[in-house]
Amino acid sequence: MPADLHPEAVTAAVRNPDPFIDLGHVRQVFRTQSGGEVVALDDVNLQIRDGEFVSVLGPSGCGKSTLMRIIGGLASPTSGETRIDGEPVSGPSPLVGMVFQQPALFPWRSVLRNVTLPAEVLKLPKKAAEERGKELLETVGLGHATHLYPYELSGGMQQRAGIARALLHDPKILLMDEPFGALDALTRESMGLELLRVWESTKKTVVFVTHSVNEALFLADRVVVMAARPGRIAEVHEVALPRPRTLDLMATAEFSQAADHLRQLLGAKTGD
Amino acid sequence: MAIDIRPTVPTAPVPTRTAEKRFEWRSSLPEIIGIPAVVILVIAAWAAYVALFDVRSVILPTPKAVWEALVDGLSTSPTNPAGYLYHARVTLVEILAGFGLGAAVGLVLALVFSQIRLLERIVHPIVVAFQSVPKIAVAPLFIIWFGFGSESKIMLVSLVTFFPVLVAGLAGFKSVEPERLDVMRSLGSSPWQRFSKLVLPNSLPYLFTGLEISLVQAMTATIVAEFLSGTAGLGVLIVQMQQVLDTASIFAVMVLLGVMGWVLVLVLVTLRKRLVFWSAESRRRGH
Repeated sequence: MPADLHPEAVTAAVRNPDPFIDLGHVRQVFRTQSGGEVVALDDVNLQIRDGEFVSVLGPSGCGKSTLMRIIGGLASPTSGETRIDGEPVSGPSPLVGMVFQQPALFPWRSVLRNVTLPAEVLKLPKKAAEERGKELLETVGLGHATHLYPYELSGGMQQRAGIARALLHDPKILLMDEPFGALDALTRESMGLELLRVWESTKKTVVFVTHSVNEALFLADRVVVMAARPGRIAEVHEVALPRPRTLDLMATAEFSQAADHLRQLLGAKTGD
Repeated sequence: MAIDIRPTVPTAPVPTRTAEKRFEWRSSLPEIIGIPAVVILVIAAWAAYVALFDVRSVILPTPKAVWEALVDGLSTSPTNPAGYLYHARVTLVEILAGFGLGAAVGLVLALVFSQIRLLERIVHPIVVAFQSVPKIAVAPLFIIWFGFGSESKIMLVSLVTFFPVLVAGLAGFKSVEPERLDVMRSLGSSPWQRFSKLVLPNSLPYLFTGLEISLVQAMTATIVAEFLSGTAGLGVLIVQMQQVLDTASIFAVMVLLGVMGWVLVLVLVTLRKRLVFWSAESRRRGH
């Protein structure tokens, strides 16, 4: 079992044996307009370790975005409990940085001022935030674009800025809800690699929602496979692939075996 | 396999400001030459018409007579009620005060409605219904209530102005992209932070559309209210000139009104370009 784990995750687990993110019996029910009920999440139990990279994989309607919003404190579950670092989640927390499918940059702000937005909201020192913003933009390859406006950037560049923004206030957890979903395949792969580089250098806990089997597998220590109607966890798959990961990993037999297994779980006949 | 994880950027060439300016200057050459040419042509045709058909100056004065009336009217001191400047100042103050008051009321109402859904559902339809009454029709009432002075004009102008701003503000405040709101929420922002950093700037393109509509209506309402009653203002002046059949002066005052309106709209448009340069709409118009 420990052989399956990323060494860093193991050391993190040893350092802090308690789960960093802990979802217990989380259930989320939505009322439809016609008066019916939709069970978005049913009895979800999930423990995520500090510094771990977890992918949440599932078809649309399986509640993976809802799960993300619950961890991020944007939604409160109908029943069950969510804890981050032992504390119950009652709302958005500065421990968490979120990245959404759309970059959701503010078009009237320059790239740098978009990235420093969290500092304004959280009332952090301005000067330090600017320095950190520039550093982060450098890290995501946008060092040249600080003064540009979002509409002057490509989709991939905008999403990089969105990631830099989520990291600005140095959250411990990065929640990513299909962050590369709107990008083309090539950009998507290079963004994945970049994300791994950022993750390895910042030691964040990452929860990464996706509906791409390859993406989920390529990035994560564990893949949480979800099923729909009602939204629930079908299986938590330990990824036994070595790190650091490179694109040629996807051509290996181990990778395709694991991917096939995940696809079977999803009930898909062909690839994603 | 060694992969260059550094992204290859930038993808799209970013036009620099100076390059844009040069481009604009050259592409607007037809306007720079064409517009004055057409204006001169119209004035020449007008002068020729008056001369050829021997039109009486009460019906249509010559361009020269209008020009003289304008110069004459503008050459007096702003404190002299016989000159144009005195009246122009009164009218300008009425427009700006009414416009400002109306826009402020519209904005505050939009804010309140957008925050309290129940109020919007109950009050908004009433406001909309009230809007179908032509507002100029309440001018006589306002004169009874607020007197013959500037107050009645300011009140009428703000009544005319507030509605387009209310509608634009409501549309603008509701147009926030949910994911942007999530970004603000996920940071644990206060309602005021969400408003000042997201909702308000996001609504600016809508607000400016409303303000531009309101401004034009504000100018019309001011002049009409001045026609009805009053002791000063360009509308009052036009009525006085009409009574003495001084057509050239009416034309001159109209020119003055035109310039005034053009400057006011220009100020608003310049402000919009400054503040809303980022909106897809203003970029489509080429800044």
